Amino acid sequence: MRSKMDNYMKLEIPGRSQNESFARVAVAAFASQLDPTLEELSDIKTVVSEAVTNAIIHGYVNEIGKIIIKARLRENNLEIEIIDFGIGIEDIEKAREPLYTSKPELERSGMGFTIIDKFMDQVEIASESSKGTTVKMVKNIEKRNNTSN
Amino acid sequence: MPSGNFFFLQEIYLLCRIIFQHKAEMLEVNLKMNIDIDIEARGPKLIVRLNGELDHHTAELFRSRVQEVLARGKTKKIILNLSGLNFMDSSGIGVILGRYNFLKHKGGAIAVCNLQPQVKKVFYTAGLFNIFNEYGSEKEAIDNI
Repeated sequence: MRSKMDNYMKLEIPGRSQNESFARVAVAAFASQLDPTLEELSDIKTVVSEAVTNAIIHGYVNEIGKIIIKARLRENNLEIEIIDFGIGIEDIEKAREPLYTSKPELERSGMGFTIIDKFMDQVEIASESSKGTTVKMVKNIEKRNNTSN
Repeated sequence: MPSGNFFFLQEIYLLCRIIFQHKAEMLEVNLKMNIDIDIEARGPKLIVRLNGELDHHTAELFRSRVQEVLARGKTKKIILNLSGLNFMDSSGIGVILGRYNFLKHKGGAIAVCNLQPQVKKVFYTAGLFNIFNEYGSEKEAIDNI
């Protein structure tokens, strides 16, 4: 049963805004194997949207760069990684503060990481200047209806 | 004869370009269709009904469509009917707050109604219910804002 649940996917997309909706739906479809609730599925869509949008707007400036989306299913959790190879985040702690945005002129709310932190159980951000950013997030998904086997 | 062939090939080339360009444009239009914005002005109140998804990709369309009306200067209050909005993220928050900032100098306000659970959770997480009142129906929002 445990090994059956182990599964992963990897997706590469150019950082175009029309791919945001595709990315979040793809990860949600993959996660549906864990039989999540509607709320858990919505949370997953939202955080993928936030992280992919961050990569498009903040990772790549005036270029369409590549974004890699990885997801791994374990027995009772889902791990998602959103990876870009852009300019990196200068101050990660500051970026995680509510309402902080480096681009207020674009009407960014500065709530992206706040939402990610609230909706996911673990969040790690790794970033290196001019090398890129990886946002790794884990969501625990409670087991339901699969007590047999 | 060779020059005749040349023109023939050139014509085929131009025809192909037109067909493919047309296809590319159609695709572009389809990609932009994941939001539908219905705007109705009733004096100083503007009712905006959103259907689809409000994210970074569609936020710009929302901004330009609503701002175009706000720029005329009549609107003081906005009622956002979100019954058909299936998804919103922080890009949506940014663009809604942007309209609020535009109106608040002249005593404006924004009310929301018919939020779906995902949108409600994002609103709540961002603390937007401290700024915007939520109503059970569009009529109630229009009457009370």
